[in-house]
Amino acid sequence: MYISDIVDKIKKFPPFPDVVYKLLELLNKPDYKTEDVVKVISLDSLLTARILKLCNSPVYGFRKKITSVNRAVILLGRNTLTNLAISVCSSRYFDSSQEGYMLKRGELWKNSITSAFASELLAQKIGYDDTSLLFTSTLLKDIGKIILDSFVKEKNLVLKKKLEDNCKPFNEIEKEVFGYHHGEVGAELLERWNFPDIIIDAVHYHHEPEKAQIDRNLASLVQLADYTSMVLGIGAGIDGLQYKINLEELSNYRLSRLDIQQILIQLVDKIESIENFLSI
Amino acid sequence: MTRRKIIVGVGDMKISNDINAEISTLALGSCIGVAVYDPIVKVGGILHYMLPDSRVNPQKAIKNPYMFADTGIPRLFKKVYEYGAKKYNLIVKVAGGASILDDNKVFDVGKRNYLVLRKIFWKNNVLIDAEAVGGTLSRTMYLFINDGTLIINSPGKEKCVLCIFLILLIK
Repeated sequence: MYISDIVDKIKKFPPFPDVVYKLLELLNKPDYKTEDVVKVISLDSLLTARILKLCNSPVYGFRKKITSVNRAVILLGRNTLTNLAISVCSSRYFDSSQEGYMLKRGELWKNSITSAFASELLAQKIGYDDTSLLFTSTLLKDIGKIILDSFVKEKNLVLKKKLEDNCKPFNEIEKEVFGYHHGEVGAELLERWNFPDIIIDAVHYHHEPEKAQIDRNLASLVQLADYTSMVLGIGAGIDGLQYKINLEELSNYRLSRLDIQQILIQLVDKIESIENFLSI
Repeated sequence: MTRRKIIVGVGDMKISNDINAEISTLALGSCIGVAVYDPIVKVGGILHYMLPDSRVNPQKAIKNPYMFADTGIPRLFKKVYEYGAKKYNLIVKVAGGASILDDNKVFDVGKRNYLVLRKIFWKNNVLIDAEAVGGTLSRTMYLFINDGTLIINSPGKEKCVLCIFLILLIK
């Protein structure tokens, strides 16, 4: 069966650099200090340089160039700075094509970044506070696809047939064929990497937030952010848009069709200015 | 002969009468691509709109009319007429409008995009010659100005030439 092969692959996956754990540790404390974030980031000069490049991206719209982490944290706030640091550290894992999912190099990363920005817009709309946890969970929601990709490639014909035969969501098809869907694989990986449980939970259940164990709100916001970029065709591979959305989760937020359309408009405007994020 | 590649972004429109031009969209998702082509004067164009109705954000529609069906579609036709195309010669092909499986219909942008298009076409006596719309597939369109060939590409599918009178029932 595939499960043991998949688990083997998870074990061999290179872990995140230490700096990310330090940042996640901070994120998990409700009262973490700005200086602490600056201190952690400043220890890594390559990371600092990359973060500064992103701070100067048009998405933030500062006229004057930001040249230090200290300045960046004042202008952007600690949450955004932490998001940037985690983005920089995550991008390396997405630096390949996913032939099984039929995604060219960069497409999955573009989906991750676009969704992460969509999650910020959604959070703003409904007044959700924990934007950093949401950003990171959204950014890493599909990391399981990177591991599952070679298996998806092997079983391509079977998956295509199942996709054509019925309207089953692709995550359920994955589960049927491999015993794991990409949310579960991602969650396993993040667990191995000692990520906070709340992020693991959101990644695990981002296609079925009603089953989330820790925070259903977080999981369903990750889902909504994901679907917002899917609607724009960003990162839609062999699975296309074949995922399901749960009625109950949506009504919790009272998000209407028009709200989603407004968010799509805002997101398209943002996409033009996040080019820097695509080549971290 | 070198092909000149012209890419249509989201909420964007491109027209050309250069016979070496190949106009293509980005992956369409729930957006819709409308391709028009006049085989007599060899001019064609693609509109890639994202939302059905500009009333959701009128300011945006003034800044970028191509983002919406109701403000984009008339401009597409007007623009090709300026290039000498005639309505009775125009070949019209449509792709995109995929949707997430959503019983709640909040994410049904794809279906709505298509409905509004049909309504506008109906009012203006425009017939669709070929289409590949709906379902959950993301599609990309390529229009070749030299002969009006239109190709649809979806991840995991064979490239397909969208011929006149061929209505693709892809789920």
